[in-house]
Amino acid sequence: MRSVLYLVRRPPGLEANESIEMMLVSGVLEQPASVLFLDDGVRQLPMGQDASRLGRKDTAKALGALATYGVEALYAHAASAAARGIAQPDVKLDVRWVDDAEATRLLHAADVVVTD
Amino acid sequence: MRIALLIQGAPRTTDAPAAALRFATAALAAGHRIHRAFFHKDGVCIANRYVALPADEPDVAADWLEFAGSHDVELTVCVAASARRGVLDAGEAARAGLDGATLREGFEVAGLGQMIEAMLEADRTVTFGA
Repeated sequence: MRSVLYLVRRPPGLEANESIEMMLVSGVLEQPASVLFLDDGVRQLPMGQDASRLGRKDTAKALGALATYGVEALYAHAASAAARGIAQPDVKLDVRWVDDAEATRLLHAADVVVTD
Repeated sequence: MRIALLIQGAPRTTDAPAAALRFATAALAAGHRIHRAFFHKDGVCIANRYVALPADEPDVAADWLEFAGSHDVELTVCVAASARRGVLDAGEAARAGLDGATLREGFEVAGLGQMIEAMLEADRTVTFGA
């Protein structure tokens, strides 16, 4: 089955949640799926934020469901996090931190890349 | 080559649907086949039939419908994303207890599984984001 890499470059919010819905469907259909958080996409990673205080549905919490649906290959771009003052130990999601070369390799390795 | 399109940007505030149509037209001219055009996120607003455009503004939905009719391309909008944005077929409207459909004729609503299937069947998937 063709593999998909979801390239997440946008901050949290409704459209981010809708991307996560697509990732979950990939998981349900047992499509080999991985996710790479890059640029502002790293802002989606759970760091104890509580979107309900803004009256919003929590993107970070939705990401927590990915593993349950079999989407377990989660990668985050270390330099994107560093540039935004995000410390890796603060991220409460099991991601593998990657550098530019590894991110590039992931993009080339997937059969399909879906951007957000 | 069979190409699946995922269109996520809104029809009037982004260039995504218009760019996707230009791409699809060029791909066909180059001998490729458009397997499916799937609209997700704000892209689903293209299927809202309750839109009254000023005469001097292009109707990208009409352009897509003409293209799809001429080349046998399915135009599908994500059922969940479109319901959130007020784009419902008769069945979805009835289920939500709403009066009347807002889906433009020529578009169909379907689940995200349809996009994943298209992704698996097509040789290439091209995304047009916001």
